[in-house]
Amino acid sequence: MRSVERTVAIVLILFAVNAWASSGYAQEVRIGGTGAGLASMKLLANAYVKIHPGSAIKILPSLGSSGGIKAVAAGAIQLAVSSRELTDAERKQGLAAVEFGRTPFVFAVSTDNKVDDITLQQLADIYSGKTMQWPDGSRIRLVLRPASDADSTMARSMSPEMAHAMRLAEERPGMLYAVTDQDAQKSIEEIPGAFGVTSLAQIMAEQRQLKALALNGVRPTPQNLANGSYPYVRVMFLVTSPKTTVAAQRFAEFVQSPEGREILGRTGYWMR
Amino acid sequence: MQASNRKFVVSVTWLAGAVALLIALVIPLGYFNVALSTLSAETLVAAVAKSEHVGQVINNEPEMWQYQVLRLDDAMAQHSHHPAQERIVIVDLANNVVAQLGPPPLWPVLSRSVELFDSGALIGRLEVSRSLRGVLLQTGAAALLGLVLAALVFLVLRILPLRLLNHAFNALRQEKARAQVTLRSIGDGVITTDPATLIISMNQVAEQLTGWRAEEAKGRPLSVVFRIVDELTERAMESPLKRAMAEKSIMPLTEHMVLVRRDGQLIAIENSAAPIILPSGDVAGGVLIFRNVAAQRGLSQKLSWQASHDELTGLLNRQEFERHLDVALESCRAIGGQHAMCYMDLDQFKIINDTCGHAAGDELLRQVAETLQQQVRESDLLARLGGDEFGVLLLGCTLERAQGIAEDLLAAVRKFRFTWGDQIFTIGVSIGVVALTAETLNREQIMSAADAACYAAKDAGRNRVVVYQPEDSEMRHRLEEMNWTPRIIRAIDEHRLVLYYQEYLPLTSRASPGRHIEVLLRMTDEAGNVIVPGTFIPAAERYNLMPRIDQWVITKVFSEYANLTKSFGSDLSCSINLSGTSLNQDQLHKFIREQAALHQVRPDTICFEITETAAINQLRKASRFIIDMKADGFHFALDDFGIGMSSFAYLRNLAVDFLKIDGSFVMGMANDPINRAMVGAINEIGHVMGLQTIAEHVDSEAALVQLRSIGVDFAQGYLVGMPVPLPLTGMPQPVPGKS
Repeated sequence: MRSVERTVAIVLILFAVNAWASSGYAQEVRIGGTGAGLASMKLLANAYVKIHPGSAIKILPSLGSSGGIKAVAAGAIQLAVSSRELTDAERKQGLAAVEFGRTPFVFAVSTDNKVDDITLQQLADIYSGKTMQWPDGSRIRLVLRPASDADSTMARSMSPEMAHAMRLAEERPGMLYAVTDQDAQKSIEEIPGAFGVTSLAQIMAEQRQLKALALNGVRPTPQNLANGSYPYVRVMFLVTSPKTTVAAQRFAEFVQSPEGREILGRTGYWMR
Repeated sequence: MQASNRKFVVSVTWLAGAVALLIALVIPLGYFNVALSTLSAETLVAAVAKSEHVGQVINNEPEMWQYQVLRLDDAMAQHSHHPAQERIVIVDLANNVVAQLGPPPLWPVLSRSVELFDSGALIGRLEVSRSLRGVLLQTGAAALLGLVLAALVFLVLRILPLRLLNHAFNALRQEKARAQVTLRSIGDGVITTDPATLIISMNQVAEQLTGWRAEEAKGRPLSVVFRIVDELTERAMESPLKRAMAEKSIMPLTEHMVLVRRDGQLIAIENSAAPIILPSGDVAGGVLIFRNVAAQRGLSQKLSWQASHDELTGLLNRQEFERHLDVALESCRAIGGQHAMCYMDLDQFKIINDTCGHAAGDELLRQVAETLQQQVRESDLLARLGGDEFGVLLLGCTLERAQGIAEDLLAAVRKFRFTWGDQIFTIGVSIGVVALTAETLNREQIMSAADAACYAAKDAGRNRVVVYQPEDSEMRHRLEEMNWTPRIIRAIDEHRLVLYYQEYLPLTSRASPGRHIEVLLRMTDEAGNVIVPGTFIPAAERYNLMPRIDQWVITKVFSEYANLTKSFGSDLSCSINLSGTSLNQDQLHKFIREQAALHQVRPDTICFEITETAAINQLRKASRFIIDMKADGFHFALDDFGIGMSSFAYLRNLAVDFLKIDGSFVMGMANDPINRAMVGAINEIGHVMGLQTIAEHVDSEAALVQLRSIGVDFAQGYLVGMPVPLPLTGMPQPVPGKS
């Protein structure tokens, strides 16, 4: 009798494990994409794991929005974080993007920098190279993003002057470029006099020693995004594919849950 | 020539075309090769560099590298100098495109790929593609440039050399034509040969002279066609052309050369030869030029004869005779030979010449020459020395033998009868014989000695032979006189004739007013010593130099007359001596008149002095002369009156103004009553005839007193004043006259 009981127990255990495994919480959820949202995803993942112990969520280093979309389409990751809309070609692959929040698109400096506010004209002067120094006389060191990056695209769209100034900046030799969002924030944080674009959510999620400058006197806050006084916004999407697993789906749902929105709210996001 | 030209043109065209084609191909191909290599290398380098950066992305994200779009884009964008012109593609092992950057390049495309590794494991490759279109376009441009250059090169290589060659050929053809025409036109024969003296060409004149046609002569040795011999020795001579080519210099004209024509005829020629030397210094051949000089040689021989012979008589002339004389004298000195010379002067020749005319005189001379020629030996040299003078040089002859020959000559001339018209004349000859010995100084000495001997023969009565005797005083005197002749001529030429003057002292009131001077001639020798006239005047008179001297004196005094009047006063009267031989000159009157007009001399201030003897000897001429001159206003004085044994009657025929009483009467009159009487008589007659009288050689006060008492008008002499130099330009001033 004992051997039969043992066997039944094992079977039951296995069945339970399997059932648990099949329940969707045990599957590893790999998330990648734009660096702007990865820190927030990490916070969300930590909270999710607390709620659902045993779930495995791995936040990969920044792949960029396109990289993340590409990876999720390939099934290399389950969820992609993107700061742009899907293209028609990407949609045709069965990908779907859901907005999970909006965060101000900001121009940031190190917390050491005395400057708090900047105008659009000053921005154009800095990028065009007309203004090379901060008010205290120290050098302005621009941290540029690749021209194809969403941040660059966003900056160019701010005004015709900014578009022209961005072009001039890209033509200036010896400029500092940061490929990923993390690289950009790291550079702005560490390089004396550095100045570049990023998002408020990334600054808050990664707890960088950076401050987002007010633009034309308007502070880049979720509230000002909500009331429209601060118009420059980075919309963040979660992208899924037909290969996206249940576990990933569950996590995605968590992001949209009140708990999730609360975490996002605390890290510079505004949810509609 | 035409065929070779065409061949050359074709060759040049092919060559030019080949070079042009080479250029047209090499340029674009070379460019393409270089450009392709460069692009390939650059592309490979870019691929390698990019792969390094991609490799870093792979190493950092080995599992998710293919999704690192931004990083991959950034890596692929590295080392892109012309990002719009290249495409970078990253593919995995299944050739799936992992990432790509840049637009697809235009065809044709050059691609270079590099493998990508993940910790040593091949995981894919990175390919960089660039368009070759730019290179092809540039290659096309290079090809175009190459074509243009090739075309230019073709033109230059094809046209320019041919043009230059054409030009050179044309110039050469022209020169050839010109040379051929020149050769045909010149009057000399021209033969050209190669270095081996084989004939290349001959002109027409050469054909005529040699008797060979050019076509026949071509290729033959020169010595066969141009055969020459020495005119004098008749020995065959080698043409100077060989020597000219050997020495590479022009051989001048060769004399005494005779060309033997093909038909054997001989032609006197002169020829010269010149080598044809190339710029490299090699001899390319030679040119022989020759001409027919038969006529000229005959003419020159004739001229040579004429230069040494007397045309009238055919005898040697004086110049040739003197040359033989020199040779004979030289032989005397060298080998002690003995020769003799006869100097012959025909007697009465002048009478026949004056009577029958110059034609008769010439015929007489010819016949006499023939007569003389018959008497001399073959070795003797007979010459006509001038006028009616002949000379014979007797070579290898003693003086005695010469005298014998001279006697034969004399006899022959005596026997000779000259018929002219219906008149028959006889003539004589005066012969002087002189020996040529080793002691004889020179030709002039011999000629003078022979002349002196001849003159002695004339003096002795003519028509005889006189042998020169050096110890004979008369002959020595004659010789000395002869020696004066060249000295006087030299003195005249070297301005060593000097004028002195002696002033007259007026003794009576009827003496014409003013100062009267007589111009006296002196001569200085080479050392400046004064030679008195008595020494040289007789020789000058004998050898007909006085007219020249008298003209010199007249010219000198007249030209200085203005200065003389300044020295002596405007009332000066000058007396100038005229010789008898001057009186004989037909042109003397005209000369004096012209000189007086030229120098503005008043004729009445000039008085010409003629000796009584000279006047009497040529009474008619002297009288005419005096009349003509006095008509012009000149005065005359009869000099040395009283010694000429002439009667006073002659005075009637001579319209003189002054009578100069010979000094021989004056000098002795103080002590000799006869002289005193002579002086008185002459003075008396002179005064009666309206003449003024002048006493010469007054040398004492006693004479002067007597002259005054007699009433002679003027006194001249040492007492009155010594002859002193006439104050001509640059000469010292005279002392004032005494009265």
